[in-house]
Amino acid sequence: MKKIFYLLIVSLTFCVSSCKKFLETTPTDFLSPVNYYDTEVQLNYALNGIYDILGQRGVYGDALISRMGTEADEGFYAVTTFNGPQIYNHSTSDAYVTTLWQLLYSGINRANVLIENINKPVMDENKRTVILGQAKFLRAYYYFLLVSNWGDVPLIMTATASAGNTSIARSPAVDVYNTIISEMTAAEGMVETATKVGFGGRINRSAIDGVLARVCLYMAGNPIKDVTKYKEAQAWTLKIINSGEHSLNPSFQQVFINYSQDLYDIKESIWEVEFWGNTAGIYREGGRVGINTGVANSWTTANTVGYVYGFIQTTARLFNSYASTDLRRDWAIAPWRFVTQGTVRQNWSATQIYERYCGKWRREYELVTPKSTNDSPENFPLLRYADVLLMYAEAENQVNGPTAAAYNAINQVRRRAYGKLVAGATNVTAGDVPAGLGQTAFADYIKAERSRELCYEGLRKPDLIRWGILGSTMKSVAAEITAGAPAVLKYAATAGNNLTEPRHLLLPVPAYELGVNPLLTQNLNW
Amino acid sequence: MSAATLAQKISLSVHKVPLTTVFQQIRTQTGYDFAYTGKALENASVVTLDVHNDDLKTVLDRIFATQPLEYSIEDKLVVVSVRQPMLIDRIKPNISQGNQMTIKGIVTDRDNLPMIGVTVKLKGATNAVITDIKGRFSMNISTPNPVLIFAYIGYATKEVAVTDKSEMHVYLEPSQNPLDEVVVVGYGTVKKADLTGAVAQVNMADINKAPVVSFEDALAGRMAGVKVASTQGQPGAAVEIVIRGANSLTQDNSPLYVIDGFPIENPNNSAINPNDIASIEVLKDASATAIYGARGANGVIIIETKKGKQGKAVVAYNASVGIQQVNNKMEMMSPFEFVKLQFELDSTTTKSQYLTGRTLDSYKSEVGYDWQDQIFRTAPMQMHTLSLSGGSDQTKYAVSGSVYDQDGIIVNSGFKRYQGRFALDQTLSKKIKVGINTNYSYIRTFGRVASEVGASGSASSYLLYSVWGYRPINVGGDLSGSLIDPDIDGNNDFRVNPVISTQNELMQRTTRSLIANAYANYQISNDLTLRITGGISNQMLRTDQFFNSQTVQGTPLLPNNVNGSYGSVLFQETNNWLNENTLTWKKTYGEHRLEVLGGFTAQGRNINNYGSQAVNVPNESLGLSGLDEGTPSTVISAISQSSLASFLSRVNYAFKNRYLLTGTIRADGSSKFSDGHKWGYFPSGAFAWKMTDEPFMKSLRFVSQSKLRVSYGLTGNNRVTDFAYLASLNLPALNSYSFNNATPGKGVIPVTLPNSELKWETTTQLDFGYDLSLFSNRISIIADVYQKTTHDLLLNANVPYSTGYATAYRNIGKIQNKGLELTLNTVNIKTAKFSWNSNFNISFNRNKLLALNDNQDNLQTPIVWETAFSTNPLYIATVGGPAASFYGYQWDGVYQYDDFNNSNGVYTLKSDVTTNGATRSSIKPGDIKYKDLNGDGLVDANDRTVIGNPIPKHTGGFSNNFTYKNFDLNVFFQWSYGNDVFNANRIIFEGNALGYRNLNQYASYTERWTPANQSTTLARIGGAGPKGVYSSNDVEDGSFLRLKTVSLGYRLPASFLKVMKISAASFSVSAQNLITWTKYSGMDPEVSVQNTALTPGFDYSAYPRARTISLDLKVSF
Repeated sequence: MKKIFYLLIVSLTFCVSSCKKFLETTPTDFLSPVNYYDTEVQLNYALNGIYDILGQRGVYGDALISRMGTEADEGFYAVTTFNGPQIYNHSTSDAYVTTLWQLLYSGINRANVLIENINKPVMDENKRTVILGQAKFLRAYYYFLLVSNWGDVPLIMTATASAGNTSIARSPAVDVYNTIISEMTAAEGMVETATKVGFGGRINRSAIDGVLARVCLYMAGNPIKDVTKYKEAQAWTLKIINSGEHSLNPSFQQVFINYSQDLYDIKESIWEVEFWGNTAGIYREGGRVGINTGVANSWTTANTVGYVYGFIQTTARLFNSYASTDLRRDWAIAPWRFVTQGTVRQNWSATQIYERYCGKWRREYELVTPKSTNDSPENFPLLRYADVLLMYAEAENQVNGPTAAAYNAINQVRRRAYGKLVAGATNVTAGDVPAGLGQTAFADYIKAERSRELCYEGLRKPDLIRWGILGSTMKSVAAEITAGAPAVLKYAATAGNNLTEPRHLLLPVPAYELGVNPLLTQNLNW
Repeated sequence: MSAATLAQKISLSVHKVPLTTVFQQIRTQTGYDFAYTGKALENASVVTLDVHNDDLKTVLDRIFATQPLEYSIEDKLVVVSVRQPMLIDRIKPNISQGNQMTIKGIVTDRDNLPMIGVTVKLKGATNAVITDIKGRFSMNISTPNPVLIFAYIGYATKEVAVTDKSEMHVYLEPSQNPLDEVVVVGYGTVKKADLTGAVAQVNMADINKAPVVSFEDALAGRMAGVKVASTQGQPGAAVEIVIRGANSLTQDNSPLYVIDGFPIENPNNSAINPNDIASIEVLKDASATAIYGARGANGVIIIETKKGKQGKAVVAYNASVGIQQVNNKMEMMSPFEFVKLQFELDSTTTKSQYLTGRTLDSYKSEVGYDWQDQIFRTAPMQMHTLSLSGGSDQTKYAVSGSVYDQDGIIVNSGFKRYQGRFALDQTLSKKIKVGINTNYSYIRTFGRVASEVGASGSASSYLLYSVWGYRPINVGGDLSGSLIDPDIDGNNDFRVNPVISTQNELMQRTTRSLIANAYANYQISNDLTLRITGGISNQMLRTDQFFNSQTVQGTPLLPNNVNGSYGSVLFQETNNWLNENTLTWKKTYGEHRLEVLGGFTAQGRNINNYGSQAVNVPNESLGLSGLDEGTPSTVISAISQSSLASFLSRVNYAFKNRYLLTGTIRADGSSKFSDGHKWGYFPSGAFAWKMTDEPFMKSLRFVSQSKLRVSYGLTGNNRVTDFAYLASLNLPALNSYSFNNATPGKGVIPVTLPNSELKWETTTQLDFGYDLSLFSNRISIIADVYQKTTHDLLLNANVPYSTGYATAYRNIGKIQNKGLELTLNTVNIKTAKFSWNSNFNISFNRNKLLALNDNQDNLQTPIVWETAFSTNPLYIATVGGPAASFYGYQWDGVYQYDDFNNSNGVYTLKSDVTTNGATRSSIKPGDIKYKDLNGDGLVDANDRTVIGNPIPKHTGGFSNNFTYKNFDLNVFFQWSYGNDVFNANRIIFEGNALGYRNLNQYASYTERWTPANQSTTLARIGGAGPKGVYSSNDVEDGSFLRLKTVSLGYRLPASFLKVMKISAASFSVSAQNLITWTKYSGMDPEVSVQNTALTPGFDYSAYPRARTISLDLKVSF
């Protein structure tokens, strides 16, 4: 009996010592941050993960090309059964709002992790700097999307380390803007030039300069109103113009055909979101450019054009702001629709305006087949040289008034619109901005010109906000629609009717986020 | 009958006196009392008797020989009752008074296995014989009207009157005295009378009456406190067992299974043939489960399989052959109603599509298709088990094999199992005994899971959507002959012939499961036993899928199918190993009884998953073997492992056999947590007081047992992924980015937020129990009340998105379950020929969330079934409320004309009438209406509220066993009361909320609002309001009462068996799911297609439960 007792004690003691080892298991399936980021290749994988956010459905893969960013005076969401930010009746738990917030912070954390590990591998220092520059810029760009949509936001510049304490308060918008500018400015010197990169999908120096100009313009306008930033915007855009790397594509429509066909034109298209493939196989890197926005084509069988929902139809405001000789009009707003299984185009009558679809992105030009109904390979522009020229003109006008340089910049855009940049064009000044405008008139001209050039590219709503005219513009457009749209399309006024200020100048902090982060506060009137 | 009884001497001399006088005199002489009713003595004759110093029995026998009465002696009471007159009549021709005769017969158990060593005794005499190795006996009798008494330990003693049959066949039932039964508990057994914890036992005889593939399928409603929810009727569908309510919000709530001593989480229970199971016990309270420590919090189900018995080899064959049918189809619209509806939805298109050259009325004569008739079928099922068992006093063995083959009631679905088992027990010496037990199963389930979300994430990609919604009439093309509807130009609407597609899909899961255990018992001394066990379980699951061009997934006719014909093969292998070493010491000192158990166990598990997919397979006729010619696509590889080391101990102490104490403790060390948090300690204690044995209870002779139990203890839950506490990175294909049009480069992303503080989830449970048995156990009641509080919930908690993550495992939150369980077993009628026993059980459980993450006051959970609804949560768990409630708008019927201002036929909603969430100007009469709870004039997210309770108020079962002569009948009811079901089918098929054209609807939708039919609550077509919102309109009462099992059996008489040279045979006819009483409008109220603690009771495209009728045969040789 005693013997057994001792035997038991001995065996238990033996076990206790070996137990410790027995219970140590090491993961062999997934990667651990501890043993990763050791090579240049691994850093590039991490960088891909940061870029990935741009193409997600909740960002430019779907949301920001038709439900958010297009909810302005250029068009309306042509499906009445959906609620959401496109008609300004979204709630604090709106999925588009929540997902955008989630994805942007996800990208920021991915960037934080990479930046903290940037010095781990032994590698070429120049290549390391290029990677760091892209990561810093993308992180700042995600903060730019956050601050322009939500105002004050938590500013987190280090990777989240533990599930323990995760509540962080909002930082004032101006601090976030200043961080964005200093980060982007630092990144600007790290990345390669546009010419060296050679295609619009990767961050290049011109892209950063142009986005910096945009950031400065937003800061100069509402709600920060730091007008000193006009001068910085002018400097950044001038830097691009003077680099000699960029020029407008002589054909406005070719710019968009290029996106459909996955062709790059780094001179015009400085930065674009890359979409790829049709979801055959493992990758789902297609987007909804051309599917959400495009001429509706909903035949599922024998449809060679490709399936198009056609969520965005135009307003008369935009349509009528074009001169009939402006070549951009009938490309940006298709004058026809598809009939008979999508094989025939039938023109709208002259009075059918609100019926017309956004036509900038056209699936019939796509080269990847078979065409998926939900995923297209078309790229989406984030910075075009035309925008750079218009930003320059705007900033120059604010700083120095409507100078010749300002006129020159905007007129380049207009001449292309009238087909005057093609070889052998005559009467090249036919579409030029009238000479001798005052500073305000010139500024107003630019406001309309930006819409004519950049409509449906997700820039209009923030433009109207920074100019302080979102509410007034939307109300007057709604009145126009109520008066002039056919009865079945009068609902197009819903967005304008629903919009109230200051509530809709910012998105609501997602209800989910407020629920789990007690340090957060909600935006005004939400 | 004790010897003292017989020793009582009586002298008596009476002449023609009434019987009662004789009783009085005997009482005076012996002190024995007589119990009878006046009615019983109505036909009694007067008594003439002269006895001298004879014993009581002899005297009584002589008195009753001439009376139409019989008697029995219980304690000091002579019970007098009327003798069955019929019996006498039938005996008379063969057995005349004083004639000697030989009675032969066989004794078997319920399974028709011969019983050796049964004592057969002539009633009222001393002659007795014992059955031989074949269970046979033979006895010479001269007594008139002989009655034989059959007795065997552990079995109920049975009295059988001898009839004119040349050979008797007697069945013995396991002991009716439940107090003598032995109950298997963790690491040992205990007499039921000595149980201190709450342990429920399954009546295996009842379970085996249900023609089911797995024991789980028959468990529902059998035990109080054990909720068995089969999610739907698919063959091989998951059965979710939750004991005493869900403890864990986001983690697994299924119990721990201990199969022949081998604890396994989430085993494949259909690997075990129910015929091989000897017993199932369910451990419910902390005292019973704490011995399983970190895995005990969800309760423990202990399964013991059958072992060999000493005796001649017995070959037994059981067969069931049956058919299954769908219980309940949905009634769909007729062609006329369908076209009428299309016209209301879109008159222009409908005119050109359906009304070119014909009128609407002409559709009245069209019969049309009911696609349900083509997808549902009457499906056969069969099961065969052949077993061989026997043994000597040294060696005992049991070998069995079975085949189960079931076709599903939906075409191209089904279940097959080939299973074999071998158990061997060998006594090596007086002190050493060893044994092994192995089970191997090959299981194949096939067919599309009806409720499985399709590739598109849309409501239209589910199987029953395509069945119900497919058009009922041809227009132009032939719908039944082509894969896709030639006339549909719908909006992202996968309209595919469900029959052709389903028949062409290959979706099958093949499981190979091996469980092998071995043990060695060493009796170190009289008091001390060492037991060492070891075992492995290996499960290989292979999932094959192949979709050719004739399937919805693979057809090139839909432009979205960019993968062409494609297929995949995935292997998932799970290995478990276990070693357990326990010492048991038992000793009795006078009135003190002590039993101490101590042990050490180690267990390990590893999981390997490997598989790949190929798309655009050019030669689809080759099926899976053609994958190599396609384009390689996804490749899956994943491995993981975990280990668990434990020390355990239990002390049982009994004083005077009245006061019972049990204390247990287990220490578990798990690899799933980081250093410093690996070990958890789980103690428990219980006390039981057997009042029956107290002097003050002795006088209450009708009380057979009265026992109070109380227990308290801690148990744990460790169900997290193996490395949940570590940070991890991943390279998902979805997080890639393409530069310069190149093949996307994968992105490495952080996927889990580390938490080095992660530890066990702990449940404390207090249980009060009372066991009462009355009238020689004819009535027994078990009642338990309990309160379980689970804290440090292993919550996959929501974290702020600003962290870059959505969830992280944290020990946060608290949940409580309180409940009452009642079990009532009664022997309602028991005579020689007829008996009726019943079991009734009912459970009440209240679930309450006490705390969540930090100051989070609710947790909302969406259901993934249709993209438009994907972001609106259907479920809410609120602190202070249950873990799951339906959440949405309160439905308020439809808008009527008087809600509108009418201006020349244009109706605009009055400004004081609330919207339904859609744009005010778009709302029309007949549109769905919701309540504006906050009164701001419009219905939006702020008007959502709790709209239903998916958790039942009580559940239970009522089982009845009747036997009459050779017949037996089992009738089993099961119910659930007070729970709601969310019937999402109605969103699509009773209102067409997604607005699809050419989509057929339930016939009930003919009652929709139209200008001609305004007195209705069903919205007009197109009036379903804003997309993607849930409302109380689709919440239905899911209470039901189901006649779950009916089984009528007949045992062949011995005379017949002898001719056939078999020892026993019985036939039965059984039915499952025969009748269901419910108000639920869907196919089956017992449904929960996405069952978790947070999302119970959701119905969309559920595979309906089949009604099964089978013929069963049991023979043994």
